[in-house]
Amino acid sequence: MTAIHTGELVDRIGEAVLADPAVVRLDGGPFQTIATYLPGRRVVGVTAADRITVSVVLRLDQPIPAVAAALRERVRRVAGDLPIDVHVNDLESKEEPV
Amino acid sequence: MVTTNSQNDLRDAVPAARQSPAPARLADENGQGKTTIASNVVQKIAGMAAREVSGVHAMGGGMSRAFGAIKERIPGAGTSSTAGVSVEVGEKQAAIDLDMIVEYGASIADLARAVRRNVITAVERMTGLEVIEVNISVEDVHLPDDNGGDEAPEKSRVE
Repeated sequence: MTAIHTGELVDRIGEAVLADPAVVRLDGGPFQTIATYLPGRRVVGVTAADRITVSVVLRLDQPIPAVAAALRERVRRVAGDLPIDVHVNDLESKEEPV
Repeated sequence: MVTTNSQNDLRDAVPAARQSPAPARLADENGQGKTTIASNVVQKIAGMAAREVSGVHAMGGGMSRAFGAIKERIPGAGTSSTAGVSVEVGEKQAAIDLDMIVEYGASIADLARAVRRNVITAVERMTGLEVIEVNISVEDVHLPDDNGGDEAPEKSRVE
């Protein structure tokens, strides 16, 4: 994967992940370290190299394995057949953002 | 990050007894990627599940509540929703310790059993992790008139 395409790819992965209703937001973990660094900006919560990592905050009322499988499917559709690591960083309910 | 794309290499390294029926609930076995769950996720689920059992007054004991008040001010150190809950999370299993304050009049043994059942159900269903133990420590009993907050505030007798 060339550097030119990486930005576009992580953007598309980010959009695909956020399209899932169970996902509140992308989150880079402690100190926001899970991120793709691009010229002029960075995409937090997504990395794409020989494997893809997405790091998310989920809604509180969803079973995590099912959501992870759904996310993996969504990412696979835009990113192709790479191993996809899903990291669940936190949970939030709509009412009380904790 | 360790990249084990070739699962065959991994299988060879795992003792035979451990490969077999252990449910691959987090869908990491066929090279499709791993699902990792941060420990504060398990903490929150366990805390919510414990609190929703009727008879639990609050989570946290005297000490952990005192420190909790301070901890809430430290960024990233946890919030009130995780007070009184500590967890250890591995790849497939989780162990949970709960400190709680119960309502006066609840049967503590029954309550603890109900809390344990609810926490195990919630965590297993929501995370796919196997809960190997839930240790419950009852730190205090909340008496009905402890802080006057339970009964409706006394109304003025005159209108």
